[in-house]
Amino acid sequence: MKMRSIKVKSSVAFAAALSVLLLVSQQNAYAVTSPYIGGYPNSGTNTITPFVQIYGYNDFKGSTPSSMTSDLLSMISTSGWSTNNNDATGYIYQGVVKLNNDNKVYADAQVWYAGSSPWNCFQSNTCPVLGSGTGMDYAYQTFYWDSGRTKVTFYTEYHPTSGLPSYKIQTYTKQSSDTSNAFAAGYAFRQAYVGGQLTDAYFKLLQFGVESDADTLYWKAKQYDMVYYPTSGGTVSLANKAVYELVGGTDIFDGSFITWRYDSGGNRIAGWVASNPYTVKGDYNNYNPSIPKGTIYWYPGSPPIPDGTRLW
Amino acid sequence: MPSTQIMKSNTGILVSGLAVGVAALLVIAVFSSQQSTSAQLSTDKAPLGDEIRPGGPKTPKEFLESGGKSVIKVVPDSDIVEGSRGSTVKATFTLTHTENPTIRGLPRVSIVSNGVANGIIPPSIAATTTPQERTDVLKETGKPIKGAIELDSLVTFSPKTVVLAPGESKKVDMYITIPADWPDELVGQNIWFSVIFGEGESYDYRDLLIDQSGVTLHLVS
Repeated sequence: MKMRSIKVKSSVAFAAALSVLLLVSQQNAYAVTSPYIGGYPNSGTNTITPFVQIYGYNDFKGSTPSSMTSDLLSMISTSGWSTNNNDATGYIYQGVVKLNNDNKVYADAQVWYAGSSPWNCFQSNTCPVLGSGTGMDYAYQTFYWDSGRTKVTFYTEYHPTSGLPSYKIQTYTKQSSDTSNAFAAGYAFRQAYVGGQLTDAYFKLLQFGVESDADTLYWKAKQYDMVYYPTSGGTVSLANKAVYELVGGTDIFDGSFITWRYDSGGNRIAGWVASNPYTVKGDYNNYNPSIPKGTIYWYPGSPPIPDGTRLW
Repeated sequence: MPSTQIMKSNTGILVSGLAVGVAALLVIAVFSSQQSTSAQLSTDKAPLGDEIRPGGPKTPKEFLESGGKSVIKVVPDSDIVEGSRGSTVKATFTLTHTENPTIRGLPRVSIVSNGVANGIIPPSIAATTTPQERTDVLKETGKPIKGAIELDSLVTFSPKTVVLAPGESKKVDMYITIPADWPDELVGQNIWFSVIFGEGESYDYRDLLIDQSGVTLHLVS
C-alpha cells in the first residue's frame, strides 16, 4: 500500500510538472498583449473632481530601445465628464509620449469612445517624431479644455539632452456626440456591464501609467510632477493625494476601469484601459522613501508591485 | 521482484501518469473552451464593455507583422544639415514603399509633403519660463509663447507629391529658408525639424503606415 501510494504520488507529481511545463511554455510562446500598469488618486469612493487641465512629466532614462521587443507608452488618461449632467460621458482622453524600439519618440494624442478612437494622430499618420529615446532628457505633456469647452488641446514638449526643446500642439474639436465639458479625477463605484455581465466595478477616472503593445524588457519610465486644475479653481498635485496602483484589465478592484457610457437601452457599459496587467517593479515613496511623493519609476523586475498598493 | 511484476508496476506508473497528464490537459482545454464559449455567449446576451487598445504609430516591422499592407519609410539622406542665417539649405529624404511580404501591398501610394510639425524653444525662453507658464500663454492667446519659433513656414518641398509602387523609392527635397534675423543664441544649436508626409489619397490606417522622420539643422552662423 505504501509503495502504491508513492507511485501514485510520483504519477501526480509527473502530471503536475507536465501541466506546469505546458502552461509556462504557452505563456512564453505568446507575449502578453496590451499590458498596462498605472496609478490613480483616490480621495474616497465616489469622490469625483471635475477638472479642465492636467500636466505631467516623464522620461525614459535607463531604457535601451534597441533591445526592446515592443513599444512603451507613458501616458495620462482621463474620463470625459459633463458638469451639466454630473456624469461621465464615456469619452476618454489620453496624452501619450511613445517610445518605439526604433528609438523614435512620438507626441501621441488620442480620444476614445466605446472602444474606438474617433480622433487621434496615429490613424491619420500625423503623430510627429519629437526626437530619439536615447537623446531624451525629459518630456512635458499637458492637455486642457479651451475656455468655451469645445476643444481639447494636447501640448507636448520634448527636451533633448543636447539641442533645443521642441514642442507640438494638437487640437481635438469636440464632436456633437461628445457631451464632455471637463475631465474627471477620482474613484467611483458603479454597476456596469463587463464581459456581458452586470458587474460591481471600481472606476479610476484619472490614471497615469505605462503600457506596451506586448510585454517587453529593457525599459524604464519615470512619471512625475502631475498636476490637475479643478473646475472649481486652483491646482491639485498628485503628490498631495493618496495614490494607488492599478493594472490593465477587468479586475473589479484593481483593474483599469476608467469610465462608463450608456447604450441605447440605458445600460451602463464599462470602459477600461488595456487588457492585461503589466507585471513590473517600481520605485515609489511607500516602497523607497527617498523617492519623493508624486514620482514613480516603472521598470521590468521583481518583486512586482502588489496590485492595489498605495504608492504614496 | 519478478520481472512481470516490475513491468506491471512500471506500466502502472506510466498509465496512471499519462492518465493524470491527459486529464490535466483536458481540464486546460475545457477551461479554455469554456472561457471562449462564455465570451461568445456573452456577446449575444449583453454588452461586453469597451477596451482601449494601445494606440500610436508602430514601427514598420510591427505594422507589417500585424497585418498592415504597406509602409512608406522616410529616411533623411543625412541626419544633420548645416546652415547659416539668411541662407537656404536642402535636406533630402528618401521615401521607400515596402509591402507586406505575405500579403499584397497597396498597388500605389500617393504621398504629399505636409510640412514640419514642431516648433522650438530658444534657450533664453527655456531658461526663463517653465513648461506650465508656456502652456498658460498658449491657453490664453491660442499661440505659443513669444520667442518660440514655429518651423513650418520656413520649409518648402520638391516635389510636393510622389506616388510610390511597392518596392519603389523616390527622393523629396526639403528647403529650409533660415531667417536672417534669428537670434544669436541659436548659433551653434541643433534644431529638430519633425517632417510630416501625409496621405495624398485616403487610405485605411490599418493598411498604410507612414514612418515619419525628421532632420536636424545645425546653425553654424
